[in-house]
Amino acid sequence: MRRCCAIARACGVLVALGCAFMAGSASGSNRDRLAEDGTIRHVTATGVRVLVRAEPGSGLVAIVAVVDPGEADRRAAAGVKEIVARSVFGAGANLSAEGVAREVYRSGGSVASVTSPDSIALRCLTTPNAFRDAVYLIGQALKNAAFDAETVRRAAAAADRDRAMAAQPLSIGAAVARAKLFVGHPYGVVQLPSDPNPRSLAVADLLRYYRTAFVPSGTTIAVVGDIEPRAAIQTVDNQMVDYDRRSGATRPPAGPSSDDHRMTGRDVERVTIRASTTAVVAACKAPGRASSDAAAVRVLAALLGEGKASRLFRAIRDVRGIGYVVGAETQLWRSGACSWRTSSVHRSAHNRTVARAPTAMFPGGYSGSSTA
Amino acid sequence: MWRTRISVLTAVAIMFSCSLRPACADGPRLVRATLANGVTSIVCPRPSRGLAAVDVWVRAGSAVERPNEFGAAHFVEHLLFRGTSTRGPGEVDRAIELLGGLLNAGTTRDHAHMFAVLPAEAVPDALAVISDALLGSTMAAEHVNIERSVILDELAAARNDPARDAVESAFRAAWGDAPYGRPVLSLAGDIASLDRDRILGFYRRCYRPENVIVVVVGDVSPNATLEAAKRAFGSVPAADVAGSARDSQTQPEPGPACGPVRTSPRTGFPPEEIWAWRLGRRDSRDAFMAELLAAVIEEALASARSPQSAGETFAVARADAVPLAGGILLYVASPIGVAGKAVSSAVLDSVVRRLATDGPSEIELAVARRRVLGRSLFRQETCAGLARDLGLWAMLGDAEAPIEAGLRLQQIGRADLQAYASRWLGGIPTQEGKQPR
Repeated sequence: MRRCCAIARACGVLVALGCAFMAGSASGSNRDRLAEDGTIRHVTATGVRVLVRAEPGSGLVAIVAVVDPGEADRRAAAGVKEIVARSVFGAGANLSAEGVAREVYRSGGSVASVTSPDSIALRCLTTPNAFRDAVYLIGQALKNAAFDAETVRRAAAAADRDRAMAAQPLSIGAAVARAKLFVGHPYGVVQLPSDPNPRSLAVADLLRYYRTAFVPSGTTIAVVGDIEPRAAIQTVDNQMVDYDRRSGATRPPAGPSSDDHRMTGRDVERVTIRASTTAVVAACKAPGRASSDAAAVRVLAALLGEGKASRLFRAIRDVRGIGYVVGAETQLWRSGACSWRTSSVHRSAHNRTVARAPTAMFPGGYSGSSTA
Repeated sequence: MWRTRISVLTAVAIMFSCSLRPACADGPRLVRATLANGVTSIVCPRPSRGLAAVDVWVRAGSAVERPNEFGAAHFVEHLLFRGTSTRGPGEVDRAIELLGGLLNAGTTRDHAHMFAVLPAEAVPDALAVISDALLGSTMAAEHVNIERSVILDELAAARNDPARDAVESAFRAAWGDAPYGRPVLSLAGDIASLDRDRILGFYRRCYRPENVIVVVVGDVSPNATLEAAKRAFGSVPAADVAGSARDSQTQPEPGPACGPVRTSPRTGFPPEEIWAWRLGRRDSRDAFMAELLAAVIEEALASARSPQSAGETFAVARADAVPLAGGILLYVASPIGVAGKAVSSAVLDSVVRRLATDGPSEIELAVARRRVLGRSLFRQETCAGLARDLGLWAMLGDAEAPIEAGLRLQQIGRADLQAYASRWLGGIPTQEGKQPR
């Protein structure tokens, strides 16, 4: 019985490798590899990395194109990356804005672009029979975004709206702390609601960023779901055949090394906005995903404040009843991480808590902000 | 040119229809059982890399509160984590976190629910902990004041949230002083004055086995999970006193549109105008129709504004439908003060009247189906999302609705939507607040 299972698994691997090989041949690449978890790794003729994993029976397909902006992030003014990410699904060289809207609906209505300090991700969740349309749509966003005036204005208005929606003490406190921790590094470029309106950005700036950042060598496309891997790779290959923009973009040198994240100083900033609560945010810099300590950062963060059984939650909320939102969050980026301890504070406890909480959260040192 | 455009759009619409595969074709199946004490269990096995979502629903929402209990539903939801006769403060959370999950809870107008995602093998233990937390809570007096302070901070934080304000304003506009019109988290004054006796009264009246539905989705064996649910919830005795959570649900009949009402401005965020309708819900088909109508209205408003939007304004109107045990809320929210060009009552009225008279076009219907199905697929992509949808719809009497969304949406035609819009939407109020119908 065990032998039968082993043979079946081996057959599965052989079939997958065969499929991958065929797809690789079709695109002129013979670099397809099959990982232990069943993920096929492929590189298109123009250098786009593709990861495909079949999950039969799920009835869904998720497509995510991740773009590493590299050096473009260091050169860009605040707000450019955000507006570019929001504009790539606007009108393009091959599609009108109306056409893009139709394609969005056709591919499932769940299409979005999301930025992080390391990347811009274009993602779509769709049904298997709309897979080709969805890949076409993402391909157009990678290759042919035109940044027409209406699309950019809409993107700027949407960015304004979302920033205003996020103008709450905790999120502003976290943004201020991050900016103070990563001065001079792209991770420290954050926009607060009080910052200049991104609507003043020139289209030329957006195009320059787009052409520098959206290059095949910095792009990875992942496809997971109810698809046949060989056909999926073929579809992606076909769409990426003319994605051949070249750029000297590289990722900036790693930020904090495994040593220089240590903090001994304390830096406190008070921010005042119109709001009905006070937030206390204490943050520290930590090693990023590229560091061998990344796993330790995650475990430490969980121990210190993630979960309702954590000491932080128990001490601040359960025992004292000081605030509703109490916890810890760690965002791991490639070359650094930001670990926050946060607490909202009820007015009646404002004064005594704001003075003491950051030290309790990070006895060793922190960059903190209280936002009221 | 226009004709060509129409034919292209029609072709696209047909493609939409063809590609709209029913979600239930080879989708998940449900296994159900009802225990002698009235607890219903629903299990949906589905491959999920060793994970499972547990979501336990109770008919104990804010609309079930009696006049002297305002705020009790939300207060109870907080106190559930504060310990039981066998677990001290913090031990409920600790027990779930030791199993690899994170426990949370929420309150709606009709229900409260407690949920977690865990390794599938931990589901039986998790069900035992959640059963204890829900049905064996001590609501200890010493925790009430601590939790009161936490809830007051939550209410204050909620006031910073424009999206929540819009939905709450819509409920208030549509239902006024009736139970659905009150804020789901309650008012600070209610929380400040609520004593333990009244909290306990609400808890004993509503947190009873016959009001509970247990949902488990993920890498689990249906029979073993039903058995685990029986072990966890089966020993709780059925209520032996008359009356149930449903007794106090007296809601007004579906009625005419209300609004516009205006939300409060916040830092950097403009106030919004809200129009709201109280729609009837005989079954889940009505809920799907309301959701389709909301999608059609939102899209029609975007199109209606586009000729004027070449200049300054990009105010985005949102429309949504919220299914409830006692009806459906349909609302439209539009920011004002953004270059002064929000959706006007006249534009909205013309859209609504067209839908009530002619129904949506084929294209509008196709686009709306795709949007509604897209949102549904996105929600149900995770075990937690599917468990939430299943629990909500099971509470509304139709557990299959979420997994049959594609099929159900396909069965709703233009004439159905026109009839539904004609019956429930009519028009919107005039300046004087009169229904122009």
